[in-house]
Amino acid sequence: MNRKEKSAAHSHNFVFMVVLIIFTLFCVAAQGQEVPELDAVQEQKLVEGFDKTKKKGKFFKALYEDFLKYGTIYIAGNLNNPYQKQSIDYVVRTNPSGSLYDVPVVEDATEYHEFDYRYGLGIRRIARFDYENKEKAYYDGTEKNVALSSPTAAFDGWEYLFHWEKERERGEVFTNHRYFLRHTGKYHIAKIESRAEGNVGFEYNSAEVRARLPIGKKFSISAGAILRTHQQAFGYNPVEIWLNETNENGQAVNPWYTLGFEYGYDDIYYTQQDALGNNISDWYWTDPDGNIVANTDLEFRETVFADLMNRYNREQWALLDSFAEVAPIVGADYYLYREKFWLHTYINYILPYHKYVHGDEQYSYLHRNGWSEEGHDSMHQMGDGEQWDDYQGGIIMGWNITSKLGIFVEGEYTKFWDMEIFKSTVGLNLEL
Amino acid sequence: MKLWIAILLLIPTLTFSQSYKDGLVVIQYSADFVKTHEVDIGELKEVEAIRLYLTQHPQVFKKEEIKYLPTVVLYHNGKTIVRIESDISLQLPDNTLEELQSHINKIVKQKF
Repeated sequence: MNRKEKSAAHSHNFVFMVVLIIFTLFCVAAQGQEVPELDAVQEQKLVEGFDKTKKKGKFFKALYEDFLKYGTIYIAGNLNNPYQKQSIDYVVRTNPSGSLYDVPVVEDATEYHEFDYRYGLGIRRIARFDYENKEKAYYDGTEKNVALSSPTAAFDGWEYLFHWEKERERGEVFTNHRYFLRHTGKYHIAKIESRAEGNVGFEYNSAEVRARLPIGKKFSISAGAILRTHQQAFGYNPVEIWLNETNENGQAVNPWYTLGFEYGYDDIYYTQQDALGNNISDWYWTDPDGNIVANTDLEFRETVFADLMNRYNREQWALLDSFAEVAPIVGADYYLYREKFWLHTYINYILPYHKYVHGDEQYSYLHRNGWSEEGHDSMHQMGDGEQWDDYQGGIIMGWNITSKLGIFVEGEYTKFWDMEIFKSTVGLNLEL
Repeated sequence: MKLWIAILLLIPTLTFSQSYKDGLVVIQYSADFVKTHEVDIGELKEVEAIRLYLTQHPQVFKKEEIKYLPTVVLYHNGKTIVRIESDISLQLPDNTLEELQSHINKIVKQKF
C-alpha cells in the first residue's frame, strides 16, 4: 500500500469510526426507549455480524502488530550554507573604452550559490543491529543502517523505509528517494528496493527472494534469485567503438576529426610563414557559427573534441532504454554480539548466469566486449555474451579489550557490473 | 572475494560455541513434576521461547544456578534481563507473562 492509498484508507477508517460512534449513540438511545424481541434468524444474523466485526478487529490488530508497530513517520528539512571556494576568483575585462591598453576592469568571477536545502518525508521501520547506535534522538531520513545492505535483518518480520526528499546543492535541485520493503523469516528473505539519487544520476531497483538456512543462531546461508535494473549501459562506450571501426585495409572508417564534422565543426587548412621565413602548416577549426575555436588540430583535439566525445556518448546512451536482468544469488551472514565483542560479516554473491529481461541486450553488460573493428553491428552475431561475477561483502567488528581500550573495523565492498564501491574504517579508542 | 569466503568459513569455525542464550530468548527451566505449573511462554511475542527440563539438561541447570522450578529467564545476547522464580507452592507469579512481555517490548523498541 503506498502513502496515497494509506492516507485514503485512514480517511475511510476515520469516516467509519464517526459513523460507528453515531450509530452506537443512536442504538443506546433507541435501546433506552424499547427492547426489541428477536427471532432465531435475527439472532443468528446479529451473531454473524459480531463475528465479522471481531475478525475485522483482529485484522487491524495484526496489521498494527506486524507492520506498523515500531514504525516512525517523519518529516524533516534543513538549511545549510552553500559550498563556496576558499579563494575568490577574479577576471580582468577590457576597459569600456574598448582599448586593450587602457586600465582594465577587475571583476569578481567567483561562483556564488544560493543556500543549500533538503526537505523530505517518510516512514521507516528498520531495526538496528545491537552494535549500531541511533545516530540522533530523532529520524530525519539521513540515517544509514547496516540492515539496508546486509542479507539478513536484526529483526524477523516486516521492515520498511519509504523516503522521499528534495534537495538543492550548489544551486542545482534534485529529487531523491529510497523505497525498501523486506520480510525476513527463519527460512526466507524477500526484499524489494528502489533508489534514486538525482545529484549523481543514480537509479537502481531490485527485487529478490531467497530461501534461508540458519546454521545455529549466529550463521545462516541463503540462496535465491535477484532482479536488478540499471539505467547506465555499463561496459558500452559508443565513441570508442565508433573510433575503432576499420575497413578491410585496416584504415579508420571514422577518423577522429570526422566527429567534429558530425557536430557542424569545420577545419580549414592554412600555411603561414613566420618572421624567420619558416612555413607552418596546420588546420584551424571553426564552430557551427563560423567562430574560430582552435588554431591547430592538436588544440581542437585537446579542447573541443573531448567535449564532443562525451556529448556523442551521452546522446548514444540516451537512445537506450533501461536494463533489467535476473540472476541467481547466494549469501551468507554471521552475527555475534556480546557487550565486549561483536562481529557481523556478510557476503552476497550473484552467480554468473545473468539473463536480461528488459533493455536492448546487444548493448547490455553481457556483450560489453562483443564489438570489434567491424564496429558495433558485428555484435549482431554476438552469441551468448560474456557472463560476469557480482558480489558484495561487509564486516563490522568491535572489541573492547579493556574498559578503556577498544578497537574497531568496518568495511564494505561492492562490485556490481562496472561499478566498484568500497568504504572502510579502522581505528582504536583509548579512554583517558 | 576469496578473502570474504575465507573469513566467513573461518570465523564460524572458531566461534561456533553455540549459545542458547544468543539473541532475545526466554527460557523456562522446568521439570516433569512441575509441568502443570509452567506458564505458556509460547504466547510471548517477538522472542524465541525455549523450555529446558532438568532431566535432559542437568548441567545447564547447574551452570545457571536454577534453584526453583519452574524458573523463567529472559536473556538478551547472553545477558540476563529478568529472572522470575516460582514460590514455595511451585507457582510462578500471575503476571509472569506480562512482565516478560513488557521487558521484551522495551528491548525490541530500542532496536527501531
